[in-house]
Amino acid sequence: MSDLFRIFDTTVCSDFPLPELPRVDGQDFALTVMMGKGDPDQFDSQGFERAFEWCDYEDRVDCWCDRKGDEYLYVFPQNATFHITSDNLITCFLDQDSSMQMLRHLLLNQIIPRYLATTGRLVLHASAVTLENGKSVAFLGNSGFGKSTLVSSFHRNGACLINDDCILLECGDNGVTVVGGLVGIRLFPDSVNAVFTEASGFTNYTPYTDKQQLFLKEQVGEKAPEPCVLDAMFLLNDPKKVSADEISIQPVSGSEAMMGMIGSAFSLDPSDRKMIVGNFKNVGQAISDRMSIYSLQYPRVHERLAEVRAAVIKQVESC
Amino acid sequence: MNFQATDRFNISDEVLSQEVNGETVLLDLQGESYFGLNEVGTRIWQLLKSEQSVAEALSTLSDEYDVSREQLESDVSELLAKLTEAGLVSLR
Repeated sequence: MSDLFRIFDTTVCSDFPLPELPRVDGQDFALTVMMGKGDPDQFDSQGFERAFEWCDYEDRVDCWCDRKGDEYLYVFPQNATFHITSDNLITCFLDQDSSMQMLRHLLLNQIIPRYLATTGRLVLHASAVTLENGKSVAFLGNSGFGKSTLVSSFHRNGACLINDDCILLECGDNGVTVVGGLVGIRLFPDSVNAVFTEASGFTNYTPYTDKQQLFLKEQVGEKAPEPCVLDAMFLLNDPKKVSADEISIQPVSGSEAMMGMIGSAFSLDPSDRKMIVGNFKNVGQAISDRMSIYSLQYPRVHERLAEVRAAVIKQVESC
Repeated sequence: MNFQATDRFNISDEVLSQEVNGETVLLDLQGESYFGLNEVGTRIWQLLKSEQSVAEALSTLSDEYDVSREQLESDVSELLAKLTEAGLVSLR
């Protein structure tokens, strides 16, 4: 028994429930997701070669991608393995010590965004909201830069969340449009407590991080997300490198904007020449397409979030 | 690195360029690295692509920018040295 779900602009057929995503009707779909049989260790990886590794902040490898032609094997040790083939099929294998919630988290926030990049789409590690004045803005930055806390703060003060971690951009006649994947927020407990004042439905989703997640059911409903014009993008400063005491918003040069966006673009195999060229061209087109891009520096103090919101809103009013 | 007035340059087949808001980003597929060029660097890159010699490029830049000849020669020489060292361009 399979159901259809919507993530970004793509309809997915899955043989297991994806409660984080809205269901859609119809028969057409672009991607199939299946649960594989057995433990990830039993997958026959003969012929695959290591394409790329990702390390954590202590330089330990915490994920890798093996490749055999157009087949990819994404391994998240102790959690899950994903086999991606060129016929648009993702087969998921759950580690016995992990959980389905963690597998879905990796599938929806890592694997599918990376898969979409292979189809020519531009998917960025960024958060985005539509403000009360109707303008949509995105915040670009690595993990730990404050993307989720910032959009959570906007969401709690009347903005409509597009996504807290991952967005898909498309260039069209009206400029750049943005669409999110799943509508949820993942925060560390201190930010949950600072931004959400009452019991709010956040749950732990993996024992490997203190981060908690919340899905905004009232916003998800059964309606697929609609793309909206992206009016501005803000590149967040690295709080560990630049400690800002004041809030500062400055226009960034074209090359600075492009380098920032390229560094945040998802890719299934970051060493693959075709994908590097694809992201390069897509980012170039997006920047040339009437979108305002700024740097945003601000003190990472929860008490100053209201000022940050006000500064962003004032800036985009001129876009 | 010193360049002759008659020098012309080949741009590597492994380099893609993208102009954004008056600036240029170069993608070196060989080294999988990126280079950002400011407005003047972008103009020099355009002149290199149009196969102008160093002297022709300096002459064009002198007409377009209100900058001393010495400054332009220094800027062009510095950029050519960086691009050559990175393997993005080579002397013909």
